[in-house]
Amino acid sequence: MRIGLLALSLLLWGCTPRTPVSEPFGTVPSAPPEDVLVVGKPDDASGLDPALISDGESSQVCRNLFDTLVRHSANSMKLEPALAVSWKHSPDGLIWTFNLRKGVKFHDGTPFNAQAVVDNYSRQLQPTHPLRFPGNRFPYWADIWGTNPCLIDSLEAQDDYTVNFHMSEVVAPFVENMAMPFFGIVSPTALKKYGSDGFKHPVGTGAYRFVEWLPRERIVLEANPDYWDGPPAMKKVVFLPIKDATSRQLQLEAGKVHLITGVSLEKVEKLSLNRAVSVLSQPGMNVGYLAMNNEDPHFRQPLVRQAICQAIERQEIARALYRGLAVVAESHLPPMIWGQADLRAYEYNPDKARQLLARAGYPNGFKTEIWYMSAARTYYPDPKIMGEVLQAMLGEVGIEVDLKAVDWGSYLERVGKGEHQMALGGWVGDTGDPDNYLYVMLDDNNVNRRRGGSNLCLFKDAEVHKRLLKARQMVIQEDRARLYAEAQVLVHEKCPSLPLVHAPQVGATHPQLEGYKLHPTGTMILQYVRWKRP
Amino acid sequence: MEAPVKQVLLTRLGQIVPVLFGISLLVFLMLRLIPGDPVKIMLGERASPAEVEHLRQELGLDRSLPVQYLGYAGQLLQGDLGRSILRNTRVSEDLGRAFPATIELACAAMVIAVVIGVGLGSLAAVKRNTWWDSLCGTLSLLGVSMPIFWLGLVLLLIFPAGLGWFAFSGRTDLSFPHPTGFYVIDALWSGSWTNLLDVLNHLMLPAVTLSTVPMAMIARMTRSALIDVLSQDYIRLARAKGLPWLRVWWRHAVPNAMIPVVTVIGLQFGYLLGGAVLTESVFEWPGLGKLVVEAVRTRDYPVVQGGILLIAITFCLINVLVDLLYAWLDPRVKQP
Repeated sequence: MRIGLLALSLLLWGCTPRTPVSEPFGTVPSAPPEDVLVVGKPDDASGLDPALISDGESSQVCRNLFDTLVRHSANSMKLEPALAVSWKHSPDGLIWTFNLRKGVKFHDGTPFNAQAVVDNYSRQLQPTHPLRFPGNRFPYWADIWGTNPCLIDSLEAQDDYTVNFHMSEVVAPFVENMAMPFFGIVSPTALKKYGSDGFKHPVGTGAYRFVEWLPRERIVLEANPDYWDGPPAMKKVVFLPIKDATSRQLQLEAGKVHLITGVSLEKVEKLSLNRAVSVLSQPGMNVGYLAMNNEDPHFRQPLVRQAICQAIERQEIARALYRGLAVVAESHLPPMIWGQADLRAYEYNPDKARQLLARAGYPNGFKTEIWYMSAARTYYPDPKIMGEVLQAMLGEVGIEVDLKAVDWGSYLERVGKGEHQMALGGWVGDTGDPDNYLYVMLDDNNVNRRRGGSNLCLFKDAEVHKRLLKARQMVIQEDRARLYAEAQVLVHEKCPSLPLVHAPQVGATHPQLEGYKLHPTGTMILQYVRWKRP
Repeated sequence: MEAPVKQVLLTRLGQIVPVLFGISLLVFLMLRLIPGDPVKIMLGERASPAEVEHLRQELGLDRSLPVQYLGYAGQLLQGDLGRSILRNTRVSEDLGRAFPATIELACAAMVIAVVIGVGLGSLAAVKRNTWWDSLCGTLSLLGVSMPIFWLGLVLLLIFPAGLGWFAFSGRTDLSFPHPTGFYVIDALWSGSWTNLLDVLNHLMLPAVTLSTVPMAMIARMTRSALIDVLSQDYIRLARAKGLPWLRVWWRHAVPNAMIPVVTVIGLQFGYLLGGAVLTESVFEWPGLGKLVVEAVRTRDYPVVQGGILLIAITFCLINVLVDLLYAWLDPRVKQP
């Protein structure tokens, strides 16, 4: 009878017009009786050796199994000591020295020391290292340091608890990069023992120890009672891959899982009214921007670019397309990253945009194209709709826009080569260093018409280039911050592209879960998570 | 085994070899002809051309297609399916975990489909042109036309989300040894009712979802086959001789009607192996269909090749089994 009624109500629900839920509903559940946390993630890990992975799903698990030399604090990009208690660089910035924490043990009982650090990074640096096994590939190492040549020249153990890294050139974001979970330290004894299958038997020094991994079913971890930073409150953590966003949400609402990631923006509003759920949201470490091709006859003219910047109502975009959770971007640098400049927001003023176009020689506007990618990205949950909104706004000032969908597989290459007139651009940073954003998106060196560069607006400016290049060759953060601020002011004046939004990160938890915070890098830190009990 | 049956078996098994060769070649070529580069997918959008080239060489993807295929075929003949490009796991290991999951789900779905399908079909045939018949026809039509993805989500909304019955996803929440990979058997082997109940709790909704299409097909085929058989002279003769109706139905009608039904069951079982991917996706069932689809998405060639080959082998073997069942059901097949 109950099933029949429920089925009938479902049928009727499908046939009746929907009115938006605006009142809170549901009841606040109590905390589960056991210290077990179940996490629902959009995908399984691809491997559990931090050096072999490059995807977010794997690194979220690895972050809790392995420690890095330095780490980001629980909810910001501030660096703090982890397996290294202090670090310094030589006056020329070419040698970095890390003093290691004493008394730390790997989960297999072997001691953590300088030799372990040397073994971990040497296997990634040296092609013939004995701890490099068939099938081992180190994508993140190659991405950050390069392979041939490599920015890290060599490393050595000065004594049992001191390690020196010799750089081939000054790398300003070196320590910042070392905080990424991909540079977690694995037990060399375990690497030796498991060889090519090491990615299935993770042994680190982290807050949690590995229990089991049934690929595509679950990963189970247990608390490390000897953790150097204090044992975590949760005795057991289970990661479940739940691809379907609706299923993840239903399982959270039913209390079957306690923490989910990858919450879609259209579900946030309703989910946040459910008392059985806590929704977490914050600006993400990303930027979505409108890339104008600065080599195109129209967009070569600064007046046209300024007109575009004044014709787009970005507040409305953030409100309507991102449910008000996105932050309007004034710079390509997300707000949580240091090196910010004090920039005046581009004003939305269609009349002024028309005047600027008339001054540029287009009193009746002109015809152009906007390319958008075929697949959703973190910064564009629906690129087509974003394109349509921009098309409508630019139409208001007389710019007739044709939209063109381009397959994501070839999108970046084609836009990087400058085949577009205007295109949706975006970037998700890995690290909290401004170099990872400004140099990548706006420097002359990243314009590449032959192979396709990451400077999608093909913007070249000697003054900006000088500052961005100089900043990446210095190690004093204050000096670098000044150069980045100057570069951003110059970019803002010349407006080679229009920063649109910093899209939000969204997660949801059981309301009785405390100590969990979204991290700007997208990693998952479960060390401080506990159940709220009376 | 009688000689003709043995001959049927050997002929059918012999026919599998060229089929498998054809499939291995077809899948190999198709994968390499579709757009998308596994190396670029693996290394991500920031990889330099030099890194891409280096990895392509390492994986042997820079060689000509015939050379690549010969290498693959040589490995295959030695029983080596290679390693996943993406995860570096042995493909045999991945398949060894996914295959029992799919077989278990397909078997459970088929048991439901056969029991309900044959039951509904028989009822419709016996109560021909009554409202029972219409009801069975409507249920069959619903079964065939309901999108599996939608049905799965509705079942999730009604049962685990609405009533708190059955599990949302996965195969089990409990940890116990899985020596066979068939969790029902493993749970029985563990000797714990809790384990078994948990496994059945997880199996129920995906099995019901997956059973709808074969159930409808079986019901329709059973109905038409039984109607055909029940109108035959020998049935009328048996009834005229005064044999009890149940005996006539069970001894004379059902075995003769079952031959086309067994064909449908065989074909549907094959369909369940490859076609379970939607059900596997809704219920996060870590089966073969889902493994292969994910591998196609990431262009993980060895996993796709191994997975399709395994599905093809199973499909061929099921067909052989159906042929053997014919021989058992219809004595004329055994005659030379």
